[in-house]
Amino acid sequence: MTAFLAELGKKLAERWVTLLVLPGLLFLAAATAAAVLRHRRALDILALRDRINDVTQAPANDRPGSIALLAAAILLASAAVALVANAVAALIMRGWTTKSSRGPARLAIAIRRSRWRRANDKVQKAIKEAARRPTSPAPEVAATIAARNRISPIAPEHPSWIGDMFRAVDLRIHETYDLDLGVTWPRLWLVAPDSARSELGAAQDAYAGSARMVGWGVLYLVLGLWWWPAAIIGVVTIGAGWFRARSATSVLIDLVESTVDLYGGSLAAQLGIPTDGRLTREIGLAITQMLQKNRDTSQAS
Amino acid sequence: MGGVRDRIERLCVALAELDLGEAAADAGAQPLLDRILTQVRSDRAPMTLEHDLDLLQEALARIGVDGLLNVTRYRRLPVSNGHPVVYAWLCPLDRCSRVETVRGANGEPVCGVADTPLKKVRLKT
Repeated sequence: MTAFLAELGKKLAERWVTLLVLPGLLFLAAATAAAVLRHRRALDILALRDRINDVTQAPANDRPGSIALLAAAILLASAAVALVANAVAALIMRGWTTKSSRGPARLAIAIRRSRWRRANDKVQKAIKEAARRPTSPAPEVAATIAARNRISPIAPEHPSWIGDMFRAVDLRIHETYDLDLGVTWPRLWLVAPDSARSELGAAQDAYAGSARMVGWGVLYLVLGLWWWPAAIIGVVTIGAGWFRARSATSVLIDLVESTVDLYGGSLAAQLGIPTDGRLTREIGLAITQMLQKNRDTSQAS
Repeated sequence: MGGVRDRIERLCVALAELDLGEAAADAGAQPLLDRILTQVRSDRAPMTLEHDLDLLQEALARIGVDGLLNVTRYRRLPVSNGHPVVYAWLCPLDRCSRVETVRGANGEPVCGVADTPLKKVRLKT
């Protein structure tokens, strides 16, 4: 038990340092620079050094008690800032998949729909032109389809590409197998082997990590109101986080769809639904109906 | 870092085929390897196995033996546009320039003149 608790403590401490304290300390350093320098002397490193020297050389600040108190306060403050960044990240993840059409989300959806329609027109045009010479290679069809899918694989209904990617995989699985991914996913997770869950877990971690990165970027952007270099850090961090989020979403969606394709038949067998190992629309519907358990109140007697 | 079972599988293969024991001794990680093996062979739930595997991997990496116990994660291939399966529907009589790009909710699109379905062709994407 002691070994278990020691190991648990070590793991928690490692995660605490990696996820909370280190990025929090960096942010506190930037906040200190912002508090001392402001916009006017934003890059005056010497002024920052002098100010830190003044504080640390004050007679009351070189006693062990003061140092311990200051270290504890810094650690707590960095953890607190990290918790704020995590809360912002949670909001960002919610925003990526929201279907809200109010305020800025409505504008974002309208812009994305307009871009998607133009890209889809190019796809239709490329197909029509290629169809007139069907025996000739038509790479432009694949190119226009890829360009349209970079906006969204389906007509956009979310303010972000990420939300539409999740919706697209849900629709594809429903149209192909008549499966309701929402109710099926927990059971598929339990049926999938360790190797698949390990990949999925890593992909989910990468997705959450990218949202945390954007969350930190937002905090730096706010700090930029007092110290403009922080705004630059914020913009770059948000951009990098967004790029990572798109990549993580692609990987996660590939893996979710692959899990359904590969283990949907195993799930049917586990549920006692007759199958030859393949997942068909009939079997998918049987799984969906069994797992929904009349959850839809309009169907309930 | 990969599932523990996957990593133990790699450990098993490395011990049997690649003389991992010697590499661990060179890396000064023989006691660590022994501790891992004790945990794997034990009936009790391993307490520090994953952490010990991390440590062994780091010790091996320090002497230039890398990637022996870790699992490479899935990444998308950098293929450009792929090869989507795309069909189009043309005039069955080759008399007009009608081209349909979608199948339609009621099945194959139909030629009003010939009263037959349009000719389905697959494009070379």
